[in-house]
This record gives sequence, structure tokens and C-alpha cells, in this order.
Amino acid sequence: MKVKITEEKGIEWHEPDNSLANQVVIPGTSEIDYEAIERAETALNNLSASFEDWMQEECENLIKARDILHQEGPNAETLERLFHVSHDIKGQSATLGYPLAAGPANSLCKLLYEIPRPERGPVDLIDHHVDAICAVVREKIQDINHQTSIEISRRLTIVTDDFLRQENDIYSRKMEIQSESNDAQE
Amino acid sequence: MSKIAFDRLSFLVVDDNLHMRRLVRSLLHGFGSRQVYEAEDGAAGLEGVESYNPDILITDWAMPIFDGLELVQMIRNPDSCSNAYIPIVMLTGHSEKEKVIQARNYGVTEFLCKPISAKSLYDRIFNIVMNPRPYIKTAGFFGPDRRRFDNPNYAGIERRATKEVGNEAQDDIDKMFG
Repeated sequence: MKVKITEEKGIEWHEPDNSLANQVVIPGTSEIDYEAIERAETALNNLSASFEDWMQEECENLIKARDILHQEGPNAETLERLFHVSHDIKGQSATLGYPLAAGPANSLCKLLYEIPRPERGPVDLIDHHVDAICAVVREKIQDINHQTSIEISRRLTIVTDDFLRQENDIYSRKMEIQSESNDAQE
Repeated sequence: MSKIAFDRLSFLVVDDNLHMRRLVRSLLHGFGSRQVYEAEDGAAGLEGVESYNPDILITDWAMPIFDGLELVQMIRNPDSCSNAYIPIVMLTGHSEKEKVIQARNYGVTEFLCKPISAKSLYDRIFNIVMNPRPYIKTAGFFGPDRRRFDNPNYAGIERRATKEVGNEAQDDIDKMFG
């Protein structure tokens, strides 16, 4: 590949000559190809018969990760495993037709990602998140206005934010005490 | 006015989640692309970039062991990767603004937040093909110019040479978030 390189104010500008536009653009047609978008939506729609099974598989993976947490206790590894599964659910649930699973999945991701000390992971609160996500799928809740699911998600978010605030305060105080103790020893 | 001949474009989709790979593949097939390769982690993705030489890479961020950001970092190294100029779409559940900035600072071309839709994916590919940006190489950065919109009146410090994104690129990100 040929690359045109120029330099200006200490910056190298690289312009590869194999611009995709030269290779794949059909001139003289409409700019946004709505037919291509429609075809892709149809392709997605054709897959949708499998979405319920896919979400059930995601929930099974989530429950497996939760079972390992119960067996081994909260630590960086068990929380990371749960994070990966809940992050997938957060990203996919709306496309797969279960948009209200995304709320508790998002709150669970935040809890697992932001907790300052994984060994203090709140197993009960994690369980409530897992149960809420799986309930949406088990009960086939696909209506985005389902009030019970919305309320459960809202409360889980509040409890999670509150828990993280307290944990961060405790952690900050512990760090301050440790720092003062180190200063005193020196 | 023009449109994209998707049948001439090849893609590599890197995601550890099989369902997400199938969703993206279906969308790309729907657009008309027939060459869609898959890899299930960052290491296989790097191998795929070298062996398939795809036109566009679509990668997840959160993957075990070798994540999407590390994959981007390995690719955006013209001394060691033969396809360092490949356009990269970061497809991720991370929607926080700081994550978008971090991805751009690693050399990601387009950022696409899940949930994915046909229109959102099409828009990113359209942007890559129709509005390509030059690549920039400095001591701390190699990747597409992080400044999407040129401001002819800008008279401030040239920040492109720095690793961190400058305020003018920050303005672009603000525009992306509306």
C-alpha cells in the first residue's frame, strides 16, 4: 500500500492511497441507501425467532457466574466473570427484544466495575440484580412500559449508587488513615 | 450523490459473544456484504487482520484476556502490523463519554454503542467510506485524525501532537453526543 506522508509542525500526516471510496462507491445513486438498511432490518427480523433462546442462554451464563460467586465468594475474578456476562446482556437485550433487562444489567455492571474492594462485593445485592434480569426473560416481558420491571430497575439503581457511595467513603477514609500512619512512622 | 457497493467490502467481526457476532453478520449480509470473517477474541482478531486483510474491522471492547482496546493498540502500530490503516469500529456496551475519548485516543475510527441497529451500523460504515480522515503519527499517537470537523477560525495550540485529545476534538465528541 502506498501512503503519502507529509510533515507539519512535528506531526506526520499519512494518507493511504487505497481509499475505500475509490473502490466501493457507486456514483450517481442516492446518498443513503435505505433499501440496504431495510434489507438488514429484514435479516435481523428473520433471526428474531431465535432471540428468546439466546436471551435464555445469556441468563443461564449469568446464573452460572453467580453460582461460582456463591461457591468462591466475592473476589476480583468472580466479579469480573459476572461483569462480562452482565455487560453482554446490557448491550444485547434491547436488540433481542427484552429492553427492560438492560436496566438491572446496567446497574449490575456499574456495581461490579466501580466497587473499590471486590472482596466486599455485596452478594445479596448482586443476587437481586441477577434475579431481576432473569425474571424479565422468564416472564417474557417485552413491553417497555412494564411498570413493575421499571420500578425494580429504578430501586436497584438507587441501592447500588448508595452502596457504592458508602464503600467509596469507607475506602477513602481507610486510605487517609493509612497515609497518616505511614507519615507518623517516617 | 453515491452509494456503497457492500458486495466489494470485507469485514472482520471480533466479539467473544456468539450471539452478537451473528447479529452483526446478519446486518452486514443484509447490507449486501458477502465477505464477513469472525474472531472470538482479541488474539484471533489480530491474526484475522493479518491473514484476511479485511477492509473494515468491527470489534467489541470488553473481551476476556485480550480486549478490544488492546487489539486496537496492536493494530495501530505501522512498524509491526501490516494493516495499521484499517478503519476500526468499536462496538460496545460502554456508553460513557470518557470511554469514547479513550477509544479515540487509542486510534478507533468510529464508536458504536450497543444496542446495535441497522441504521446505526450503516451510518458508521457510510462515514468510514465517504468521509475518510487522514492518519496522524506523533510521538504519542497513531490513528485517524481525532478532529472530525475543521474549524478554520481555530487559532489555539496544536494539540494533535499530544497523546490526549485536545479541546477542539472534545467539541467534536460533544457534537456526537448532541
